[in-house]
Amino acid sequence: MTKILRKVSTLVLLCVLILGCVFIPVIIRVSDYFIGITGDEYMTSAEDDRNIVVAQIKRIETELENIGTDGSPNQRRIELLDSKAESEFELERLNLLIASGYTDQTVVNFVVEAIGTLPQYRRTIRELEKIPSDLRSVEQDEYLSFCKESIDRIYAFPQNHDFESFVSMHKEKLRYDLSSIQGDRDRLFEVLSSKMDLMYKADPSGGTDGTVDYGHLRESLDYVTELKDSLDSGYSYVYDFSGERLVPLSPKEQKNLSDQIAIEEHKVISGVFVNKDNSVMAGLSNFFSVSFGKFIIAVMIIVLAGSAVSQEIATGSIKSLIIAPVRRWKIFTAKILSLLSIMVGSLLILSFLYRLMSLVVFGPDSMGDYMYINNGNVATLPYFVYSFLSVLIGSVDLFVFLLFAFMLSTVLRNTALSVALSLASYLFTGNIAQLFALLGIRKRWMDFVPFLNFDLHSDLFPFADNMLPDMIRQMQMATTASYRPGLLFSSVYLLVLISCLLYISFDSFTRRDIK
Amino acid sequence: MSEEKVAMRIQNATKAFGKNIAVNHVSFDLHAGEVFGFLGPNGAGKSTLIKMIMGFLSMDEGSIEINGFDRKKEYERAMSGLGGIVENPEMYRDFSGITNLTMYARIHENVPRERIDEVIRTVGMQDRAKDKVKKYSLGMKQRIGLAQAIVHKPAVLVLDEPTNGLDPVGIKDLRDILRKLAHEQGVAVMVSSHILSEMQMMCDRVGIINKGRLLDIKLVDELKSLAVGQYKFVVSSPKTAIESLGSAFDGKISDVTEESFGICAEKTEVPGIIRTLTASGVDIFAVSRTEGTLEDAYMQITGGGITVA
Repeated sequence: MTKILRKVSTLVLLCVLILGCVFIPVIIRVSDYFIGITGDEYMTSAEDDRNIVVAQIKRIETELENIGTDGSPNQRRIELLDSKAESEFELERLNLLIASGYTDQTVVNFVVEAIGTLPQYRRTIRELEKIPSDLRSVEQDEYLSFCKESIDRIYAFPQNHDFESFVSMHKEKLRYDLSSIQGDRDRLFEVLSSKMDLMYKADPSGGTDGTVDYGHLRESLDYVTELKDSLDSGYSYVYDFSGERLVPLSPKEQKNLSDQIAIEEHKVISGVFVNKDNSVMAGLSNFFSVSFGKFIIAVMIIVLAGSAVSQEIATGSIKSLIIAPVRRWKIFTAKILSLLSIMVGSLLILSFLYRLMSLVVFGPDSMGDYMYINNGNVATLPYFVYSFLSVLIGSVDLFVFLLFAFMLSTVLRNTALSVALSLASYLFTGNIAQLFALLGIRKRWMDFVPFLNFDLHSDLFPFADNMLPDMIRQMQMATTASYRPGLLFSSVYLLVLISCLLYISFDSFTRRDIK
Repeated sequence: MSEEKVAMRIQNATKAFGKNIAVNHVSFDLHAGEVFGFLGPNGAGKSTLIKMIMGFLSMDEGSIEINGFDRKKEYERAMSGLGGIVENPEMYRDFSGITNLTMYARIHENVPRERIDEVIRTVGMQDRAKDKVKKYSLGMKQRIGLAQAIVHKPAVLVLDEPTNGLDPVGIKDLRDILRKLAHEQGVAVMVSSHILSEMQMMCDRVGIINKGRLLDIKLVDELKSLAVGQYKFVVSSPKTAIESLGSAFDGKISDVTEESFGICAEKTEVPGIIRTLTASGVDIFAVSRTEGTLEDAYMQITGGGITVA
């Protein structure tokens, strides 16, 4: 009985690890069903909200009656009247929503967005009408009539679905809004109105025909706007332990930004993220699968490498190898190569499996191609090609740890110690990188810390983050060291490091006595 | 003896661990078709020498030639003529015996599948070859280890303390296989041990090693007869008998009891002793000869006593 239990428990553990990694897409899909990862917030229906607002208005009216009118201005009365007006605007908005069939407030398209702006216009009109007509300026009069006209247009939108009209309306409003701002109005107008143009280009129906996820489109373009703003201002935000700081952009960062903007716009226009939910979930599941899978394989390969030589010496099976008519360096090479192939092989297989699973669970349109800038143009790498390369590049740091464990095994001849030390350093590196990122230090000597040089992936695939959903992107930004040595430096450094480890192991294995 | 082919030649093998010289300029030749025994107390340097031959330890000085190939210059060709077991053979436990053999055979060139089966039969493991090594007893592991050592038909077979942990049946089987390999197949077998009785039965020639030095090499028979015959006389009065012999056999008399005494003498001297005793009026009840043992020779050569290095 215990024998069966022993065998089964090992099998179960193995399965949990491997299948857990492969089945992450399923887990995410199921979680989404239950807890809504994609952030479809639970919203009350418009009718419920309306009831609340109606009750609110009633309360205000009651209180107004109680206060009564005695002719003189009363601070409380003014407050109440303002409040009542706001509530009435809100009521109007809700009524229009319900009348247009948008009781469910989770639907997002330009009509809903337009209806949402009703209270603003009403408010503006109310403010402007407080000014006697002979004291109003020409611009104010113009603005007033614009607002009234806009309200008419808004009322028409539910029927005519005229997104173009909405875009031009929005742009006009922009001009009015910006007129009171200090600074480069033209530039701001440029940026913000181009966003609207892009929206129209990407989806002329404004989300009403259901082909494009309007909400996601808007989010993407908001992001682009943010980037453009940052680029224009020449500064970017940096988050570290001292909070938020503005840091000037280096020329390299500026180029990076403009490349990113080009890619994002390209994505929007080509309609890459058509189905938002799926790609967010796919991105999330990919992120976890990659991390988890890499971790499992890292542990496995460190154990294998750490015991490669020391265990053979301990059990004595190395005798057969030494007696064999093969020079020791050949045995050494064979061991390294077999470890390497196990590492790469299992990474590729695991990666293939969970991406396949992701494909099955989320559908093919969740597999975004990798986009990058080549000679000023946006170019694409097909998804599976990118994944393959990504896995290989990402395994370079694993290889270093493999060699480290192997070296310890050869030098110390103690499996437990070799495995413990290399595993500990593997687990610790993540923390070091984070620590440096948090401290925000940028010093020359840091270049020589091994851990900062492992991230070749970010240098070779600088636009990979674009494939991630926003929340993961934030996480990534927080954990990726803000300061990393350049690609050339890192590559050379890694090569030197790998050579050193190989040399030490080689020397120890081929020349030392085996007692 | 000098016409025999030299399978392995060791010259000036030296190895020191710090200040301790474990193997001190050892030289000897190993002939094809013989079983050569290396005898010595614990710590004499037997294992160290064997490990040097097999490649575990580096040689500070000296050279080894196997099958005519110098090991330093043509390592792989030299080593392909060598097979060996150091202490207990260890194999990969989760694989079967035959899988281990097959894997090992792949390292060597030209070992056909039939040879593997043949070798399994030679060591008598045909019934258990497919079981996993972790299920083997020590004797079985020894057999498979031996199979592994000979699978590539080496010219030289080196075994370090091969009888360690074996039961008498196992020891006998090993002895038979080794003698067969040497005398029928011409393999040069070198065995190290500290168990004299075993060496006596197994070997043709014996080299005695102590404190890192090779003291002497002799044929087993020579050694036995070197320990000149011990004769035991059962007589009526040992005291009278000894007195009558006078000073001729001073120092050669031992094991005196009330009924008997032992005397170290050559075969030709025996009739003379009998006559002397009879003339002195001593009654002789029995005369028997005890074979000189290797132990005697060993003690003689090493100067007696176990030395702990």
